[in-house]
Amino acid sequence: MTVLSVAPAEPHDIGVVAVLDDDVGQAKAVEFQLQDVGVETIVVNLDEVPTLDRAIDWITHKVNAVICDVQLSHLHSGVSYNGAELMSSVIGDCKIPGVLTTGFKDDVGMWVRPHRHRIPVLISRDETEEPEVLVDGVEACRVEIAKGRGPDRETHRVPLYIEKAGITEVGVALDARVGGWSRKASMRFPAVMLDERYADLDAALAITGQVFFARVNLGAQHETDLFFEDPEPELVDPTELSLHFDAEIA
Amino acid sequence: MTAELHVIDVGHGNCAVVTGVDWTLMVDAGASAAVIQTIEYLGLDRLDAIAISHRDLDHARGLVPLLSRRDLEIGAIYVGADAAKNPSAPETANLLVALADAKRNGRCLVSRDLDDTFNSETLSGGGVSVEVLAPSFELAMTGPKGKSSTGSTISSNSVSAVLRVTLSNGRRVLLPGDLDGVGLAELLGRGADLSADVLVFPHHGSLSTVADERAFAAEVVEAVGASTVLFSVGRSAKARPTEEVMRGVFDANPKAEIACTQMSSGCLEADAELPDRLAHLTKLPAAGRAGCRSCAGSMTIGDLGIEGPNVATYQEYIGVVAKTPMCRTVRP
Repeated sequence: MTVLSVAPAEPHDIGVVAVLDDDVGQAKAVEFQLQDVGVETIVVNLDEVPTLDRAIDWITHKVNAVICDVQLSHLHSGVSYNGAELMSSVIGDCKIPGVLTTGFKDDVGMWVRPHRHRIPVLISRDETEEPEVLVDGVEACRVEIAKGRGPDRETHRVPLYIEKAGITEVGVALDARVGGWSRKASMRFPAVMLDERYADLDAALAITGQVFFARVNLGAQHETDLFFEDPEPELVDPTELSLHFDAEIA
Repeated sequence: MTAELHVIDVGHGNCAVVTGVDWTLMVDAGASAAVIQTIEYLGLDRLDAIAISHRDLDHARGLVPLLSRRDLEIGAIYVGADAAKNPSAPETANLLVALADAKRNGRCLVSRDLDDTFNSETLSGGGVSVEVLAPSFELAMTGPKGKSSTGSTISSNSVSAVLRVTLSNGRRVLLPGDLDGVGLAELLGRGADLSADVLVFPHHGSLSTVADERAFAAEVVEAVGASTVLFSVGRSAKARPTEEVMRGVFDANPKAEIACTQMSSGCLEADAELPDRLAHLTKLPAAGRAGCRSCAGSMTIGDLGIEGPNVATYQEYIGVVAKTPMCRTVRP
């Protein structure tokens, strides 16, 4: 890994911020917002960082923090990675704080979920219009890097009921209901997060209605904040646990 | 330390935490983060027992996050079997699997044995006595979807465990879960003593399965003889408690003290604006604190009776906020 050549930022000073987005207009808008509150920014030319390694190398040499959109290749075909992959490495490996942004809630399940455990702050594109949200997000990420996860990101071992399987443009998706999470919503994630074999839709469909255990951040406020880790490969069929059930009254 | 019973505001559902000397019991675990927050607030690292009145999710779903906390020791969970629950429904599936996992991996004892033949000493401790008054062994053995001795269909609510908790100061609290007409008839038919000082009213003050809610409420309150009636309710479009139930409570005891965990839409319309702060609540976690949906919020029953919310500020709050406070307008 490249050695940092930029001095660590002072507390409450987020330093120089890189902005990455395949929508240049949106990147400029974020730049203006941050400049309004006195933050120095650099909008990254994606042509200069076509690969994940090049992007990480660039970031570690030039900036103290990163604001990055999930979509980096939708409008710019020369980029071989997405924003969630990049931020996972930048935050998790390089310990550089940052905020991931998204204009599409649908991107969260399949693109962001595999990396959400290493990305403390995800905000919507609308929220980027508030520079304080961006600055506070960077600070929150810095705190997690320094001190570990807060209560809303602590994980607990719970059952997850696989409600649906389906195909998306980026592969097979599973929707699971998280046991013990206080809101009645499903969590979407790539089926391969559970096991590579579920990249096959038929294999994934065959496990709907079954339950697996994983560690989930039950303190998450919204579905977009949920993530899981350490999924256990054993699946349990709950119908085998209740011998006296009569389906007709379901 | 004296024994206390905390009625937690979990929204629509139930949860009570009973703390004695080096001993803690939870009765029901509603689906709210307030359950875990209460454990943390009270500084508990062990629940000696958890008794789930019946398997409805607003009483049992909170078991899953409790079991997930490895830093929380759990002695035993008592929860009845229920053939009326669909194991393919996501929340029920997760609950069943979590319970099976806990039992098979030795996390804690998980027992379906919770009826009137249950050895009450098992749930008692720390200066607190707990009796299981219902369901009867016979009703529990038949179970939901079966027929009672009078030919009525038994529902999940009919087999609700009815627990009477007697604190070290002698104060008695009746926790009847979602007891319905079938369960009540069975209890009264065998002459069971239901007497208690405080009643947490069954089924959140709304009983769509009984023909006459008012008569049911009066019958329950008269049988219990409670001077205080609490309602564990969520703030939703459907008013809980219903006005008919409230009338029945006052039919039996015109002087009954009343408190609801959250503001009933029967007292203030569901879409009405709420205040931005609730000064009268106790410090106990309450699901209705966020959004200021609580009325009395979480309450503690201890040496001094109902301890908190602050009575004066609470009464003032009701007078200012509730348009038609049933605890006043319905009172004869």
